Amino acid sequence: MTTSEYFGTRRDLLKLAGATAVAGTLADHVFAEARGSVVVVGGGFGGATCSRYIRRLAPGLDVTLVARSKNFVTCPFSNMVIGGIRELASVTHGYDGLRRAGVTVVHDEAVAIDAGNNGIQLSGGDRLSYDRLVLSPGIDIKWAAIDGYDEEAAQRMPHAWIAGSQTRLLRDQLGAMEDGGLVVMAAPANPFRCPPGPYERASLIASYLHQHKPRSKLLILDSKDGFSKQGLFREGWERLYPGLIEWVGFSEGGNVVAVEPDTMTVHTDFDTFRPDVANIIPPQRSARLVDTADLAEGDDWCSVDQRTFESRVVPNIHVLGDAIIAGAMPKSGFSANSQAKVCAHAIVSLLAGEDPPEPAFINTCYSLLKGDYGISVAAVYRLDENGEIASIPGSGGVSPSNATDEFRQAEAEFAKGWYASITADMFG
Amino acid sequence: MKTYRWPSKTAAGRNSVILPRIGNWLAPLLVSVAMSAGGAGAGESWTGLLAEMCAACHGQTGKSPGSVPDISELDAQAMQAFLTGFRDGDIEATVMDRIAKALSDSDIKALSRILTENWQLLHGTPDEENDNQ
Repeated sequence: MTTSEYFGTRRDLLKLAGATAVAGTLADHVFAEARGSVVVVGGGFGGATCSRYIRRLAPGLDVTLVARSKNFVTCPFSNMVIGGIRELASVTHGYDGLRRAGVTVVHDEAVAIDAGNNGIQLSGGDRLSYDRLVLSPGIDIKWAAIDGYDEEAAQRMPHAWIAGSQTRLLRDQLGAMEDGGLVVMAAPANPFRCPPGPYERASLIASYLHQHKPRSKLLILDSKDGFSKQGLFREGWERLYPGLIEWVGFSEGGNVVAVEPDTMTVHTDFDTFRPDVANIIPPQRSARLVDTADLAEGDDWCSVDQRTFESRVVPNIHVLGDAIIAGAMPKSGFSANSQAKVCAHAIVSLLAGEDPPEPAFINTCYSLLKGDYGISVAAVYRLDENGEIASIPGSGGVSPSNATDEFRQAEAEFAKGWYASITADMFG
Repeated sequence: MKTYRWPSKTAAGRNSVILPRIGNWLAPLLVSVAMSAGGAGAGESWTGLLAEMCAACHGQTGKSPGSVPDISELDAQAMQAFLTGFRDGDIEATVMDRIAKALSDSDIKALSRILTENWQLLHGTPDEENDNQ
């Protein structure tokens, strides 16, 4: 069904049904009369979702999505590529579905925001004008936060925290490593993209080593003393890969302070390691594009009105996803997808001269410890009395500990189902 | 009242431990819900956007392209019975129990109505008999 047929059908039905409706629902609210231009920067979970939902809600709006590459490689499920149980192609998505939904997709890089003139400059020379700008630009690495870790070092010691060529590099290094080798992973302090990500990755690297290079070892050097779903990960590691993974927290000397890529050396405060493969996941910040309008005001992350995702610094610019602090929400693909829908509703409401609806958010982060062993953390959020996104007391939480194999297997299946669904939700 | 059958072909086989039990619980729940399903509650205003969040796992029409249970054929009463059952621990789940604990009775009622109305429109096959709450 095309977009126009869908809305046509809906409008006719609603006319027939007399349209009794709750404010903010899809069924009653088609912003057919809304006019204007929305530019969305960033072709990932936040940007793809936001542009698609704006078109769905307000077919009269011009929506342009600026995506750097012709294909988007998702960070979610890229750990399965590193663990050798999925191909990179299976986590790579194109933008044809968004084009079919009426989104104008431009493959270029946004280089400067000209907020005073409601414009954005692209590296190819074009300039786009907007009534509302949405930025979902993701993260940039804080180069040199770990001494010696720069873009060149990342070619020897991949971060693989922005999926694509880095993912392939880390996978290939693991593939080339001899049995009996040492893999070191450096995990950053909070906040960072995908809090359970390093530990899912450690699990799936262990899965690969356990199967193909069983005399090898994986050492996680952590810049914090605890991590997401820690109990469940450690339970799984003992059960699936006894003795293979060692985790060293911050107080035990896990903080990586320097690397020397030429000699494959990793320094903590107290120790020196010479791994065969080093996966350095460094500290991160919002993508540097936000600095061109000073949206982070010198901080690492942007601050937004959590009802509309409009910047607290510059009007008519909305920021979402990993680049912001979003109350209690973690930086995850699901969070960005959730925020993008709220932002889409807010923007079409504002452009139609209406009040934005009351937000609601969900995040479920699945992690795989093995192809058929999954765990999750879930939360439902709404705004608290201070306008901050807060988890609803008594809800959410992690999977049960000591669950049956069947339960872990079901969660692994649902993780794959989630991936299929959310990428379809984003890309069509 | 419509008899409800779990509609997902993927759910039946793969998630054998978790999902078949739902069938056992559903019949009595449906009866009790049908008895109490008088006028639609006002619901909380946040449920309009909450309904949008379900698509990330269940698909925009309630039908996931993957292994997440297909809920596209549920009517509002069945949806309400599931959510209430998940929340109260009467129906086993892997994650929906944790999510449903965020919902009040009126949230569940509003959410069930909104989702099924949206999906009927998206499917283009509205069941007018069930559209009279």
